[in-house]
Amino acid sequence: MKINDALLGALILLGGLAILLEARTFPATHGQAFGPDLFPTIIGVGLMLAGCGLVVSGWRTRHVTGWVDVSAITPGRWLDALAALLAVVGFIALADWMGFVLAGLLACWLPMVRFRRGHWFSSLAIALVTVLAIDWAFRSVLLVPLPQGALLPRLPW
Amino acid sequence: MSDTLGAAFSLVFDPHVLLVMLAAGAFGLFVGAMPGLTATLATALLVPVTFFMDPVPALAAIVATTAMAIFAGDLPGALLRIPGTPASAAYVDDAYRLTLQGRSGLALGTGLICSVIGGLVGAAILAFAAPALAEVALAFSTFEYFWLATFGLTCAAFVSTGRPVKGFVSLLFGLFIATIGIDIMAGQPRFTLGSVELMGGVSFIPAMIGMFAVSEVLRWALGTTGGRDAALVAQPQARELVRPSLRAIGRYRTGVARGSLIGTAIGILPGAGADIAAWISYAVSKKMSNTPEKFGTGHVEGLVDSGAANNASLGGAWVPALVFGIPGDSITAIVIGILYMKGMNPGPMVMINQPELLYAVFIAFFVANLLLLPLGWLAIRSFGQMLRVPRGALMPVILILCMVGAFAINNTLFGVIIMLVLGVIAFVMEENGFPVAPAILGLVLGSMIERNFMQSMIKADGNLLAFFERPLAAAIGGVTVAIWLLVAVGAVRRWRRAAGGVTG
Repeated sequence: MKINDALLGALILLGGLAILLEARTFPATHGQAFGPDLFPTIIGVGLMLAGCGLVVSGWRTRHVTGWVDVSAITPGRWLDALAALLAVVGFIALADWMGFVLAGLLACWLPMVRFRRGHWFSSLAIALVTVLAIDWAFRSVLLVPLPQGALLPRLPW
Repeated sequence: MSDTLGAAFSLVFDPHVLLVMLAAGAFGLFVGAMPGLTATLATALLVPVTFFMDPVPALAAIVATTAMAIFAGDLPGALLRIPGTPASAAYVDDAYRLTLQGRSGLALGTGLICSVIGGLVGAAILAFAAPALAEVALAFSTFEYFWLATFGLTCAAFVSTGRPVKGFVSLLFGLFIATIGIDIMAGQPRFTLGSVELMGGVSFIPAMIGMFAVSEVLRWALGTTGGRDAALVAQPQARELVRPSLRAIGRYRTGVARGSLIGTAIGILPGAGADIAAWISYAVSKKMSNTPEKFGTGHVEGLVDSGAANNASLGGAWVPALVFGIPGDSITAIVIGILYMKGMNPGPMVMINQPELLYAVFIAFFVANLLLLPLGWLAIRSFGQMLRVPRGALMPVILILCMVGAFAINNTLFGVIIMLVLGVIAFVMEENGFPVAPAILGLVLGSMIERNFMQSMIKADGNLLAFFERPLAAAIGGVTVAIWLLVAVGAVRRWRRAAGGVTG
């Protein structure tokens, strides 16, 4: 996924500007020459300068590189990436309610089915073993309080 | 001294620690041998597990994993022409052409033995340089630390691959992430967007898991790294593994020494790791060779140099990490995160308070590199089986481990959100030629630079010239400023030439 430097440069420029404007609202530290705004200001200015440079170089090469080049990625691959992202987003959204075991199982199983183009049952088996092993290792051995959720009782280990 | 060494030996030669190293080594070999999974990713995946270990097994596990993973990257490089980790990319053409000539045993045997030698040299230099440098570092004040961290960032931005301006953006991005949260000097909340969770700042570990692991999964899913469904050409022949390899190494023994030394030196430089070490020593080897025209056609000489260099850089990278708390590469950036979590602030005081711990790390390096010989041999023999693990099943398992790891740091789902956001950003960055290592360094060193700057300015009452008043500070500062000037002059020249080219 190649994005023209000019577009990214513009984004970096705006980001730098936003950082700079926000940093100007920080109050000075009494009696000190430099306050909490110093480093963000330097970062913001640096990002704006670099962003400008990228806009210029990207604009010069726009005929060669185009704006956004996604020709190397087939539609199926987009769905693969979407599946991976949705698995994480879904886990974040559902873990507190479903608990780690159920949310983790879905976040492992569904992308696996998508990546392997099928194999529903063997994927379910792999995902189930993975999630139960993690639940045992992290919750009961390493004592990480994984989200319990309201749907399942606590597993026996 | 001998007491400390004895204590360190008994710390490492504990059955539990050795078992951990063996398991970590097998894990490292597997991850390194899988195309698209890097040594840094292996370290990131180890993090949640190491949190609950004692310091010595935790560090020994990382040392063993990375030493194995860097070698294992040669396996798919030689047999499939897909480097298993970026550190094997420099010489992948030579290795693969050897395989096509039916000499994969030579390619892999040379790679394995050179990796072991390089790793041992790197470990030896680490064991001598770290204590010596720590003595010097005891005299450092906030002024020196400020310059040292700034020097590290400078190296990271300009030594990295790709265009310097992109390295610079990456660095600033990392520094920006480090400013998020309550400011340490004035207590001012910065860029928290009203979120209570962001008040405490962005924790390194979820950030690094996202930037290394999640971005890798995305890259795999979109198929932008080659070899999504690779098939093996030929199994390596065992009879070529030992004798022809030893003969080749004997012929190019200066190359082994050169690669090991260059690799260690590049490892010590902040921000440059095994991949850059391999590229540079491959180039040096070609330049010094009597037969440079043979490089890239299945010639073993470049393999010798860079095979030693990438493993040597691992030991080198621990030097600044242990002595100054400045990571030498992205692996040691994660190590520093782990050390902080364990309540050990990396720096010269570790040398005084817990010297046995440092010596244990050195010994672990030697043990790991010696273990590499038998384990690497087994890995060469069983690579075909490893490759049968379907990647489509492996990636979701990696993803779920990442989520649990990011969760386990503060036991909140917020860590998983940080992991996701930074993973997507790192993916877009790498796809467009922005190196990720400078961002990691910025993230790790950002608060160190700012804290040392502010403390120095309180001491010096706002007088900036104080940064050049102490001789050591002036020296490190002078070098850093000189690099900036050189880069600026170079950029202006290039820009002028480019402008001249367009108008004229």
